[in-house]
Amino acid sequence: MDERDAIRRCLDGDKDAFAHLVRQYQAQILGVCLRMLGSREDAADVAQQVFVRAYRNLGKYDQSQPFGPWLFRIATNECFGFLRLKKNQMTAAGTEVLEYTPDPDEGAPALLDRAEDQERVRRAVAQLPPQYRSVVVLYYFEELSYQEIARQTGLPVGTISTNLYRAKQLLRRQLAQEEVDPGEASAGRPAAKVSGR
Amino acid sequence: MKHLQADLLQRYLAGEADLTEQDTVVEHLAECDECASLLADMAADDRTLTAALRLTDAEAAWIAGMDLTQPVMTRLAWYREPSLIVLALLALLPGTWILGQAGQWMVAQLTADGPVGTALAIGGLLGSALWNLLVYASNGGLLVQIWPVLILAAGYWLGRRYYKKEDKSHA
Repeated sequence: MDERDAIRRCLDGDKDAFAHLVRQYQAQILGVCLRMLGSREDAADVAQQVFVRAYRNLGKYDQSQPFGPWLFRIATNECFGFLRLKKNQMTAAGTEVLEYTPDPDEGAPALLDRAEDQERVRRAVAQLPPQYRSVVVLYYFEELSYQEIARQTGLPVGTISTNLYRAKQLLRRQLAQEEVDPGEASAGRPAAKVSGR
Repeated sequence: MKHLQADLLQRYLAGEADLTEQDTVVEHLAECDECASLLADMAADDRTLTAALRLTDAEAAWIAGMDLTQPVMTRLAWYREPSLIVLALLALLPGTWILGQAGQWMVAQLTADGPVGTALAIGGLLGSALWNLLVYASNGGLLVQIWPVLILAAGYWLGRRYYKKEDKSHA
């Protein structure tokens, strides 16, 4: 059974045909959710929700378009929704959330490139605000073009470029701050407010 | 010298700048070490991020070991069309009212006649209801009572058929 057959059968009410689509896309969806959410547990939960939502909205899917990008759009939206909820919970709990503030100097050191520091970079990415995190994941992990990211997120192409640049600025400053104050960073602080320099 | 906007350098690096912008960047970089250095830093950042965001072996193994089919299909098994849920809720409303009335009657009956008297009264009521139903059905009256349900079911079935036709027309 190919993808189109599976979709047609699902639309005819055959729920079991959907298992074929889940098997085909679960690895990619889990990967994106993992990078967007930074936690395996959350990624597994949200990935399930992505497929459930896709099934419920299958009637709205335009079959003249490829299925993958449509599913990834749902995944991005679900991750956004999850992060928004989490951000609200963090705000309610009094935890400060990382925010972008323009940096006139733009003098933060370049991101680290040693293998042992990649975990720090991943952690820093996981602390980015959702609108920056999503473009970073879609561009560097999914390796999508600006046009494809724009289609998936509904943002203008110019905003993708700006968000990518700002995300990198935030990451640089976040990592630089960790180096100045490694104790706080290693204590598993969920997020830090980046001050403009 | 006026420096290039970081946003333009980002697009140039990503291969998303148009031909005019590319020419502007190339010309400027030939004369501006500061922008060239910024571009080199941005390129290094890109390499770092691509490498850092790649799945680690442990993550790849975790993903390979995951099977979402079972949990997703279980959740879908419980999934019902919203229209069916609304119909069920509508059906529940009179059911809840009837249960409430029956509960009140039971309490009053138990207080007045005790358990045995109540059991006999329930038996009598059920027998009389069954008898009435049989008489009603034999006169063709039952059809008159269930026609709203039949119309609702027919409407739902026609709606589903139309909905599916719409989906297929997209194909």
